[in-house]
Amino acid sequence: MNRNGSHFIEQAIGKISDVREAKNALAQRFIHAPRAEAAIRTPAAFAATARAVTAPISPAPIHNVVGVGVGEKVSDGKQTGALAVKLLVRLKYPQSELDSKHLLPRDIDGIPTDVEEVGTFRKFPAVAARRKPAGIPNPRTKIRPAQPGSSIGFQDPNNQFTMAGTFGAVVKDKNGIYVLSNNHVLADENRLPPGASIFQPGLLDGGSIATDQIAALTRFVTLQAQQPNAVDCALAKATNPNLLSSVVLYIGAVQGTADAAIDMGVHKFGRTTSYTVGRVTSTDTDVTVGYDIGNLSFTGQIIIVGTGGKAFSNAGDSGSLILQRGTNKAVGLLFAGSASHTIANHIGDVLKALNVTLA
Amino acid sequence: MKKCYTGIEDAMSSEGEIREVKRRHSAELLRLPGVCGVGVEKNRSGEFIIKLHLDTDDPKVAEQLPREIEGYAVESVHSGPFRKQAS
Repeated sequence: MNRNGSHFIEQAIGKISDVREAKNALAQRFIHAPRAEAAIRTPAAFAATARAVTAPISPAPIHNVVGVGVGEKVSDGKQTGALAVKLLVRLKYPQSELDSKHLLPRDIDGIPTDVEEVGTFRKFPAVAARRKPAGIPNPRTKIRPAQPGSSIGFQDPNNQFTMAGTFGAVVKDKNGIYVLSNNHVLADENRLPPGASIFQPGLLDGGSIATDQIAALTRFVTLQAQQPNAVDCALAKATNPNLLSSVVLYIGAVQGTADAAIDMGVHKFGRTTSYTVGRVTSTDTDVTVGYDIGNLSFTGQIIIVGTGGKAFSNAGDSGSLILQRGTNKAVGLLFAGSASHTIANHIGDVLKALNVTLA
Repeated sequence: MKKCYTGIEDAMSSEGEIREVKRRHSAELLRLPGVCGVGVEKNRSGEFIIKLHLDTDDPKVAEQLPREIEGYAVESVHSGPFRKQAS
């Protein structure tokens, strides 16, 4: 090893010890201190603590901070190369929703902090055991009744390719119940005729043309190449209503709809990345999105970024229903994205354009 | 007509106003090289800004973007290109 190299390492070690000291100070404050404090709590205060632990939401650092460590600071989903004290929280709150007494420090003795969300409601063992006994299901398998969150798709009439997207939700009108997903997942970008077969799982995931049809394409909102679009959506009527369940894989029953809002915490279950958690960064963004039929423009879309630097979605997740965390109200229909960002239609626009309601 | 405003109405009208500014300039901004998205977001201080999504990390593209539009700050992020997400 050359001299410059070892000098650099000594400097780095010096810096790491500073960061460790800062880490220990914050661990004392958020992790160890509350235990000492608990010894002098009144019974009433104990009851309050128990409620706070079973409830998913308490922004008080002594409840929300579950770990303190040393790691690389991540800013806007990107690694910065700088060492930071990592504050691991159950739920990351937007600053605007926090009481000033619940704000976490931005730095300690000049060492930056980095807040990372690690725990979700399902990680509380007692609750998880009751609600999610089977762990995370595999959305690419055959599931009956077929559930939102699972792999679905059409058959290319020329059999040149196989594909898969995600079953978003079960919707209804006076004529029956339907699979809701994107136009590009159910109708191949305006190209398929009504009556085209829809399979679960999609043929890319081993769905069988002979045995795995669950629905038939009913109608879609035409994707426009010459003018802005608001939605990418379509309906396929169940071949037999008993083939469909409206309960989203892993997430559960949908509790109506809500309008997306900036900083809202959301989650989805999709064919490729299964269960992911994210945050709404915009409810009104105009985008250009690449399709087989060309670059299409969409106005007024929802933008979501994944939590903890992980992508919220990837290819194959198109059609996923996006729900508000905590309430499980539907807010969006996922249809596009990149390695770092996800784009969704407003669910209200989708249901209105297709003239259906959630089943 | 005399109106009595509360803080909430101010926040609402501010969001409505920036969305209107976005709507007026969006088509033109989306024609700029490298721009694949134009939206309304909030910055770290909670102020509304115009966010431009770029499909490239070429610094020359970011340099040529407007810094503000009708008094609203403009920020950019390399987030695209965007694709439909079927497999």
